Amino acid sequence: MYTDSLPVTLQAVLAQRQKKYERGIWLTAGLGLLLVVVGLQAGSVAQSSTEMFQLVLQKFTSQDLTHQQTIHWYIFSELRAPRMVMAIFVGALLAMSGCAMQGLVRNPLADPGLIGISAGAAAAAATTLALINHYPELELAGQYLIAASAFIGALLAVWIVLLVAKTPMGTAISSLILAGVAVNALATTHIGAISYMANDDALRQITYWTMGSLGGINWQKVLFVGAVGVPAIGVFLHLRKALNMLALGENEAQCMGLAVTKYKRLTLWLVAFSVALATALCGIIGFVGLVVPHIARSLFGADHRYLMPACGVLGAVLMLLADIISRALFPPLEIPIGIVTSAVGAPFFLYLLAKGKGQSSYV
Amino acid sequence: MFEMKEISLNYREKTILQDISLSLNSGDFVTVIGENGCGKSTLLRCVAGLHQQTTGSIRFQQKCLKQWPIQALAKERAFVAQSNQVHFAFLTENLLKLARADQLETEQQSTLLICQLAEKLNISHLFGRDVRSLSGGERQRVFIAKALLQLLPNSNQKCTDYVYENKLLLLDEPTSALDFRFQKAMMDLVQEFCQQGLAVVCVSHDMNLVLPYATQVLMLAQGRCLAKGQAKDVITIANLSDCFGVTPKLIPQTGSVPYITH
Repeated sequence: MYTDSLPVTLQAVLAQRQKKYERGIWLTAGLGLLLVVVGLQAGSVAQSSTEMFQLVLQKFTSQDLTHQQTIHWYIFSELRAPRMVMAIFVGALLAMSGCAMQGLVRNPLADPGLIGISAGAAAAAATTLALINHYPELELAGQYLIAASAFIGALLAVWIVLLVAKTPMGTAISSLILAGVAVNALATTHIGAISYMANDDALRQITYWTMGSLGGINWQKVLFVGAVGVPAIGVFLHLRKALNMLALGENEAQCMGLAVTKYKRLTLWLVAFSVALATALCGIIGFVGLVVPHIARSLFGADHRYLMPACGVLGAVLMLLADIISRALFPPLEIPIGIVTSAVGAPFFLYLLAKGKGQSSYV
Repeated sequence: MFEMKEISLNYREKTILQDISLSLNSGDFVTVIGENGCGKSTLLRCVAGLHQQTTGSIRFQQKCLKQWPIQALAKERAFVAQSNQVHFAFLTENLLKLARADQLETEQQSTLLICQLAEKLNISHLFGRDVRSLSGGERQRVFIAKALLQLLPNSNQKCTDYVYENKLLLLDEPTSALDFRFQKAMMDLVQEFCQQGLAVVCVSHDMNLVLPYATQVLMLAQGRCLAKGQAKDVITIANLSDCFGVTPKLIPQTGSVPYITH
């Protein structure tokens, strides 16, 4: 009797759990949507929902807008909407990168910055900023140069780390982390040296860049991130089974039929690529990659099948929230978003650690 | 179905294994014994395909082990390591589900298999629990269940009806954390699966427990094969003292392998 009913019970439990998690993910996504609506209104020029709705209605029925309305429409569609979409992409990419990184090194304290990605990007961007300041003729292509160099810097950092950690048996995780520490130190020193030599203007720009910002985002950049970010998110979702197997250790994963070396490499490059992309366009945004997987794990469990999409959605939501805070706290001043994520993320992380002390219930 | 010919393994100019041959048929139970650090686990990892031997050849199901696609191999041989670490809060059933992740079957079918095997290994009460919170013995049973699930073919039959023909299970100290009751129960269960065609290579220090089940014993000393054959031929005072450096006493048992004691 019992033997026959057990599969039924277990299947029911599993199905119920799946339903619960899926519902949770959709709910979080709904919250994100709500935040988009709030975010479109928040800022130095506040717009009420009715105003906004009216504006959209007028625009779509091709009615003429007043001068005031035209400005509002511009703020609404060209400034706020793209940065909201960017926040979603960047948040999702950073959080999923953190999730993948933690799964790969099997350590809940890992984040993409651990292996020097962000630091590499920052070092390269700082160099370019200083150069632009020195050669004003580069000013015109400035933004693109900074983004491109940050991207290259990030990938270069990962390449160095991978090269050092490469053994005949595959990539050694402990060497990977240690090499990451070294690359981080090197990049920080490089930034320090550049900051020391830079003039006030360049110094300010470098500092601003390393704090991260969603300012200056236009549809062009969003389109670019969308075009490469959506496939990246797809690959992250594809990695779920591999990360689940890797949680049991590399030998175990290999015995279960996972091409460990291949997936390790794929994960590392994907994380590098995603973080490089986010960093290149928005500067360094800390703590999202570390904290979001933790929150997601406490809500959705450690199974990457649900954890990975949950991280994506939760990352997007938190980034939207951070962006709204950064704009709404001291209008018309805009706080760099990296400061918001770190200022909220770090204490929250401490709280999580203190709460989970001794029981480590979900990490 | 498994043929290992004169394999040697060197690592950093040190010889770990030398000229070891082993051949297995369906239903065989090979026990590997030897002192600590003599290369038992390394040998098992070679058999699993986790280590590449320096010389010699390993063929599994008429195919060179190297040429097996890793995913296909996982459905034919499973490995239960000595220490089983889980790094995140995985629940027992999620862990077991993972063993069926590469199979083309419905969720219901895999759940059915998991439950049947869990009943057999007496772990169904562990469903819903974090694997890391399980005791050593409970975790060992869960991992053995996972290995067996990995080998089960794709079907909705009862697992007791399964034929594990040509499948290979590698066990590294499978009973080290098990209590008195489950040591025996586990070995009986493995033997039951052997009767269904499963070939087993088992590394163990608990000779008195494992040897009665063995169809073949491989005695290792410093990476070399000291003796090989049926338990009654291999378990002699001369061999044991050569292998372990101490002279044991053998208490004869009627119809079974002698009992080894100090």
